[in-house]
Order: sequence, then structure tokens, then C-alpha cells
Amino acid sequence: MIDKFRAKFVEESLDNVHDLEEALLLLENDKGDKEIIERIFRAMHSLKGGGAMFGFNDLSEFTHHLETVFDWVRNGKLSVTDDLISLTFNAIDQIKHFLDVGDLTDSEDKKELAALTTRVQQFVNSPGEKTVEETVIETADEVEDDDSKTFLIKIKPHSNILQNGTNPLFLLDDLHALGEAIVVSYDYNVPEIEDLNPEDCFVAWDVILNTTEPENEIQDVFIFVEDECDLVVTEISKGNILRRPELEDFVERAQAGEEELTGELLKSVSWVQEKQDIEQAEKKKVQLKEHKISSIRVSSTKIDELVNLVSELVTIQAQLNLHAENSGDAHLMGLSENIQKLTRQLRDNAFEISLIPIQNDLMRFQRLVRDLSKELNKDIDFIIEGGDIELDKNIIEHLTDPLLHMIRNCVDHGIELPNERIKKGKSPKGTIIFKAYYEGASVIIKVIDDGKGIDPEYILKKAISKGLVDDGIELTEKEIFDLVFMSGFSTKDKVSDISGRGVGMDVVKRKIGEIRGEVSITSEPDKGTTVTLELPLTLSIIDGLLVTVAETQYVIPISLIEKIFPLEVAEQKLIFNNVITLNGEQFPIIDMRNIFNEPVREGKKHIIQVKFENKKIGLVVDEVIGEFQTVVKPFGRLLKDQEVISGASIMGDGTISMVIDTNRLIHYHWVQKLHK
Amino acid sequence: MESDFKTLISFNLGNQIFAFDSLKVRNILPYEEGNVTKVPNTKDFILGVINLHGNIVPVTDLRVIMQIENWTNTRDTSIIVVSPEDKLESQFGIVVDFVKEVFEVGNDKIMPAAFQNGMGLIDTFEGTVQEKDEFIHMIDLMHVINQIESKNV
Repeated sequence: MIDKFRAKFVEESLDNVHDLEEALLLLENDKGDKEIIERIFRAMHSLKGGGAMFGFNDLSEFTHHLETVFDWVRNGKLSVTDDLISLTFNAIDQIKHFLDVGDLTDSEDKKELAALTTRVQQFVNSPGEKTVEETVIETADEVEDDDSKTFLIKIKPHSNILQNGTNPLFLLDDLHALGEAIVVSYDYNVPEIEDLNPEDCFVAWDVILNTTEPENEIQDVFIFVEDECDLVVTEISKGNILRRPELEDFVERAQAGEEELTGELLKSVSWVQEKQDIEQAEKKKVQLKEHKISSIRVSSTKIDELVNLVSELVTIQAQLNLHAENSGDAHLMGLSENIQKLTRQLRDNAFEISLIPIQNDLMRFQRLVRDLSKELNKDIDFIIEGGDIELDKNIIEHLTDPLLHMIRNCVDHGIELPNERIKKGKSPKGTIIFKAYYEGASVIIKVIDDGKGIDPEYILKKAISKGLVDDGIELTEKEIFDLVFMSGFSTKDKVSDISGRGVGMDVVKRKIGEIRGEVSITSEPDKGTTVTLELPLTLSIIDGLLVTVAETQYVIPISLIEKIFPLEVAEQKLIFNNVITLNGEQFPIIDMRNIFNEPVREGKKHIIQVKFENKKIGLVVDEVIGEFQTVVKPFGRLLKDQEVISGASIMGDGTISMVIDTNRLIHYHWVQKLHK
Repeated sequence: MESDFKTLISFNLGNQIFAFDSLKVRNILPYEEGNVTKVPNTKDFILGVINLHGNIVPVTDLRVIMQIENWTNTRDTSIIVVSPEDKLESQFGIVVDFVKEVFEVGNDKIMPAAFQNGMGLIDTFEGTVQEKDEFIHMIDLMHVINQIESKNV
């Protein structure tokens, strides 16, 4: 039982540690930010408390010392220095170690811990470091941390508003949903019952709303009735003033029709002057927080299970569909169609759940760049763009190692030392940009550095000297850069501590290939290098085109298909040296029968034109059957090294079709040709 | 604790009887050529893949692996689906001439392997058991997998 709680604690603590690292990186840029220091302190505090409770005594004790240091920082007794930040980073590593192994037993570890603890303690013992900034802190305390605002919203619907079916009361409900509100209704325009036209609206409202949403969120509530009512939104105050007695007075008088509410009137009710209400407001905030559970924590195995079940459902659904169509029963077909719709939605939903933003993973890269650049005396800015891009968690798991390697390369080989950069007329500070964005059904990730770049001539010479290509070979620039990904190619002669651990770009390529991704590289000497990854959004379900080659069914991912051409017998004469000219286009073709070592077939064929890198290539197949949503299943251990097939898929009738990885197929074909 | 007996599944290949650990067996299916979908560009001992309860399972032919000559497919030809590492992804099927029985044998009854030479890809045998007047040759499944994987590249 206690183990279960311990595991939970470790999991939560890792979140805390993550938060701590993030805050620390922020602190490095803005050493005086009180809010960040508070955040660090809080994270340490919960680590300490939880550690003691769950038997991580060393962790608790160590964090206690660290907390003391940050308590001093918090109270202005100590200022934030680079030394302190570096030390805290070391301390975080130590904390991670604790979470990993629990209390220390190894004597080496213990020695290390003692040394680190002493260093931490030194911070609070050396009196010279103190700086007094107490006045600043005093004022900082007064700034209210409630970021809500109070608005006065005057709504006067036109008398015809009811005629198009608008119910103004719903608008009030929508406003209520934005925060806390007081509504004053003005019904003095309502005529006597015999004069009343029930299709007209006579009521007007004033709403005093306290919300954390911006003003345009309020305007949006009225977006469809803009023309049917007079609307005035005025910001009257920061913070929540709904409980102020003065305000209540105003509301009462307005209700009685004595004095209408106006912005000016309400602005006289101020929030900041009196402190007693702050407490109440804070209580309110806590309550609000408890009401809204915006996210829940679910173990990833459960999500995997969900995705698996949905995949099963998709397969079964395809069977049902087939059966319904064959039976010709209209009722059954209708039902099957509805289930298909639901299944699609369920599938999309389940996949969305398993998507996580790349951000979570980027933390460690930031840390890596920071630590490495310090170690190598380089000055590097690491910029992240598109950290909110989401990817399947299985893909992200596969991505960490290759990215780590790529970024290491940038820091170690790419970016030059500051004085070298100045000589080249560049800013002494290097930049590494991590950029992620969606493109069609793929996610593109680029790692761009402005370092010394790679000379294609050098790569070619190197590849020739290593015997990877023949001397005198004619290659395009792109083909030359692709040589970097061949195994046995490593441009650095000496193995360096940082990136030369025997893994090269070929490993990156293989790892990315495992998740059906592509890698490419471009570079210009002294300008920098860009490594681009192209990744699929999800791994397990794809929309595919079903085709046959020699009686076997294959699935080609729709996302890669450009066009489909029928290839009549007469047109087959147009093929010359594996290139065909069709509809004014000329492109190379690959006969799938050739790839799969099947006998040549006479008669009508089809060409599936697919994208490959920046080219278009035609795949010749026998028949095209149609579009199917398919679940890609792994091939199992024995067939996992299959070159051109990324998995298999079970069709509605229980038969199996093979899912083709077109990128690898084309690559495989060309490599084969090279060998011949 | 090691138990003092083993549970084996025995099957015929040609006129010889072989056996392996029955605890690794997940399923036994009749072999029908039409149910196995062939996978292009694979070694001849890999017949293809089958759909087993919604999972894709590769099927190998032990008769080809062990280079047994003159075999034909009959109604008795079966696929034994095994999972040597108790994981779904390591499942695979083994085609044999026919499946005999599951039986227990005391560890003290297992004699050193009678075959000194390997058969095809199989280099060594785990041991030999005598049941009545029949000799049963024990095969180590992990050895089979390792051999297949090393030859499969």
C-alpha cells in the first residue's frame, strides 16, 4: 500500500522538479522576479514535506537546506547570483537522484551529497552576500495578485429582439458563466397588461461582472445580437468589488429606480484602498479553483489501452459496414453508418487524448544547452518556437534521443567560440532555434543553428575517403548532405566528450525512421546548419488507399498520395527508362511487382503518384480497390526489420493487408539500384 | 524454485517427434494455405502473417527451418502459436506436420540430446526424452528465435 503512495509521491515530485527547473531557467533571465522566487520556494517546500512523509529522509533533509537558502533570497537577505543558480541546478539533479533511488546507501553518493550540502549551506553562512531590499518587498506585497477585473455592462435590448428567437436571459446566463455577477433589471418600461405586446421586449439590465476574462470575451457573448441591443461595457475596477458595501448601496438604489448605475458612479468604489476584503476575495478564489477541475491525471497505460480498444472498434466497425452492405438491409446500413460516424469521432477524441505538447520535453533541452554551453565556454541562446505543437506521446518518446543528439551536435560542433564568432563578423552570442509547426498531416521540427555550418565539399571528400561512395561520383547538394546519415560517417575525427559517443546521424535517421519520420539536413558554411524532421501525427490509425499487387493487398497512406492514374496497355509504351510522361508531367516510376520480386503482369495497371522528399514518384500497382481507414498493427518481432512494410492491417473481412512505407520503399529501391 | 518436471508439447516433423515447452504455447490452429498472407521479400521459412484475434502474427515453417525433406501439407498440418517472452509482440506461429500431445516429464528422465548434429538452422537440442518406445527431441524455443532473427537480416 505504502509503495503505491510512494510511487504517487515520486510522480508528483517529478512534476515539482520539472516546475523547479523551469522556474530556475526563468530566474536566470530575470534575477529579481519575486514571483519566480516564490514559485521555487513553494516547489522546494512541497518536496521537503512530501519527502519526509514518504520516507525520503535524505531528500527531505537536503531540500531543507536548499529551502533555507531560498527563504533568505525571498526575504531579500541574499541576492540571486549565477553561482546560486548553477548550484541549484546541481541540487535539482541530486533531488532527481533521490527520487530515483530513495535514501542513499552508496558511500560515493553520500560523499557527494555531503559536499553539495556544504556548498548549499555556505550560501547562508557567508554574510557578505546580503543585500537589503526590504522596501521593495514591502511594496511588492501590496500589489494585488488577483488578476480579475470588474466590468459594468449595460444591456438595453431593442423591443424587437424577441422576434428572431433570441432569449436575452441566455445572454445573462452566458455572462454569469464568465465570473461572478450582480444583475440589476429595469422593468419600469413594461406597460400595463392590456397594452403589452408579448412579442416585444421592454426590459433592460445592468450587469456588474467580476471576471478574469478579457473584455472582448464579454463582447463575444453579444456577437449575434449586436444589432438588436444597445450595449455599453465599461471597466470599473481591477479586482473584485462586488462585496463592497458601497456597491451594494448603489445596486439597491438602482433597483428601486432612484439612480441609474453608471461607470463613473461605480468607479468611486475602489478595491485597493481597503485590505480587509482581500482575504475574502482570496477565499473566493480558492473556492473557484476547487470547483473547476480542468485536467485529470491518468496513467499512460490506460490511455494506451483506450487507443487500442478504439483501434479494435475501428476494425470491427469496418466488418459491420461490409456485412451491412452485403445484406442490403437498409435499416442495418443506416445503423452501421451512424456507428461509423461515432467511431470516427471516438477515434479522433482518443487520439487527441494521447497527444501531448512538445513543450514538456523541451525543458531538458533548454537545460542541456545551458549546461553544455557553460562547459564549453560558449554563449548560446536557445529559442523555442511552437512548443505548444502536440504529438502522439509514443512519437515524443521516440523523439527525445534523436533531438538530444541533434542539439548536442549544434552546441558542440555547430556554434563557434565567442571570439571566433567575432572574427567572422557574427554576434558573439550564438543562437539555436527549435521550431515546430504543422504541415498537412505531418509535424515539422527544425533545429537551426547559426554556427559554422558544414561544407558539402568536405562531406563528399570525407565520404569518398571512407569508401562510402565512389570517387568522381556526381551528386546533388541534397544527396551530399544525405551522406551524413550513412552509417560509418562521422565528420569529427576525434571523438569528443559531448557528442562523439559512437552515435552519429545514422542513428538519428534510424530512430526517426522507426516512427515513420524523415530527416534531412541543409547547411551553408559560416551561416549555420538546419536539421529538419518530418513526423506523422499519430502512429496507429491512418487513412489508406487499398491496392493489390500480385493478389496481395497493400495499403498506401493517403496523406502521401498526390494523384492516381489508370495506366492503359497503350500508355505503357510511354514508359522509357523508368520515366513516364502523363498529362504533361514527367516523373520516375517504380514497378511494385519488381520490388516484391513478382512476375511481370501484362494488361491494365495503375500508377499511384506519391510525394517523396521534394519529388513526385509513381508506384505501379495492379488494381486500386478504394479508400479505407485502417489500423496499423505491428508486425511482431520476427518481421520488425522489414524494409518497405511498416505494419499490417486487418480488413473488414478478416483478411490482412500490408501497409507500405513509401519513403522507405523508394529509398530501398534506389539503394538497390545503386548496388546493381 | 525450479519444479522437478517439465510440461512439453510434442509434434511430428517427418517421421521424428520433437517437443518444446508447452507453457509458451498460446494457440493451436489448423494450417490452411489461404489463411496465411504472404509478406514480400522475406526468407523462405517465413510463410507470412495470420490474423489471430485481431493481432498480426508471423508464421514460420519449422520444416523449412530444420530442412526436412519431402513434406506435404495435410489436414493435420497445424500452426502452434507461441509467445516465448510472454509478450504479444513476440508471438509467432510454427508450422508442424501434426501436434501429438501435451505431457509431463520428470527432469530426471531428460537425457542428453541424442542428436549431435544440428538440423538446418537449429544447431543444438535441449535433450531427449523416451516415452514408451518413442524418442522425443527437445527444442529450445529461444534458440529457434535467435537463429531466425540472425538469419532474417
